[in-house]
Amino acid sequence: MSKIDIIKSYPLVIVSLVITLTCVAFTFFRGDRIATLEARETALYEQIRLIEKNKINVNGLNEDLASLKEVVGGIEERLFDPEQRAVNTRFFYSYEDEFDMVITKVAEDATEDPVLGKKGPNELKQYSVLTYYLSVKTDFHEFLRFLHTLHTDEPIMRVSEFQLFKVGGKDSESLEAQINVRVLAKAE
Amino acid sequence: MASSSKDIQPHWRPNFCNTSALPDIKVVRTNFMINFVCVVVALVALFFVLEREYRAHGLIAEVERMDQQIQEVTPSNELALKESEAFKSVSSNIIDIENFYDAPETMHALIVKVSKLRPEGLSFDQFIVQETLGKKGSKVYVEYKITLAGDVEDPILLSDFKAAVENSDVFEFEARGFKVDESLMARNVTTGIFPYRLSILISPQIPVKEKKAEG
Repeated sequence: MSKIDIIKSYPLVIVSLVITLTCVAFTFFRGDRIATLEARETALYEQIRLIEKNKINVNGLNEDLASLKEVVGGIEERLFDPEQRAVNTRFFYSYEDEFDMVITKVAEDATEDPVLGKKGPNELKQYSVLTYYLSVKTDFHEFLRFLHTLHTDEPIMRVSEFQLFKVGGKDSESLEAQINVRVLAKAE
Repeated sequence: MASSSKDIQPHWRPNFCNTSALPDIKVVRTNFMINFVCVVVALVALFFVLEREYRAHGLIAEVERMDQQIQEVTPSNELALKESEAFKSVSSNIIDIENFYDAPETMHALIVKVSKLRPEGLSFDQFIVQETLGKKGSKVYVEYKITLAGDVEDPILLSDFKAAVENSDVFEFEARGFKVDESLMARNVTTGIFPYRLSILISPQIPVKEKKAEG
């Protein structure tokens, strides 16, 4: 029996073989199509999820942004101007009119603040900071009132350090103090 | 001498049979099994390919739908991103304010609270608060050192004061622990009082004391 005869006696086998080989070739050439489409679907799904998340997050953001801008505008008005050295120094001496105390020295520290300056643990990005050393002579009550006023006054200030010494005799109420005051200022 | 292939005589066999020319006389025919297996394999391959094509068709439709959905919401999303960026930029000003005021306590409040712990017979001549930088590895942190100095009539009062400081919640700050050290100097022979020094270090490197359960 020749090969042709064998082929003729198994027509279904031949047709099946052709179909199978065609399918294998088809799968081979279009094999990564599904994977590509699935990857694209996943990426798009992630993108849609992100967009939906953005949509939720942005809810009411406009109003928050407006109120935040108002707050920041209020802060800007309270900032010291680093260029106005004389005005800034005079500001501290003007406390003498308000308190029963003598301000013997007001000095600005020209060096960068290690805490709030560049690479400091609380580095400021939008503002700069000015540090003033104040020497005052007063009593305990006025000293406390002064520290409280520094904290609550219009310019944004914070007492970072102080040294308070009792002067005079044992019964004396006089105090001398050195106070480090940090003042928030416009970015230089 | 030329002859056709039909004329070729089969090889001689001992049983004188030409099996290829004989009819199939098997009781159970097996040819159909070969056909069956081949057809099944072909059908499986065809199903596999068609199923993949169907899936691809579905995926293409889904990808197109998603693309269209993204294109529709892109303008509003870009607006949202712009607003978010603006909010982020403005909020960094507020973060600066938080950083500026970052301290365990305001100084006037600290003085009042410490003064309330002072026992009778112990006086303050010096009250110093210093802010220093500490470093552990690459992490830089801020420490606060409070130094109190003065006179005490009886050394036991200094111990009482130290215990009062240690047990009070005045120095309990979030993520910052504290430790207290005291030193007593030689008694002043004229006045009979003892100069002392007490220092309190507030640092994020000191473990925070666990609060005792109230019962």
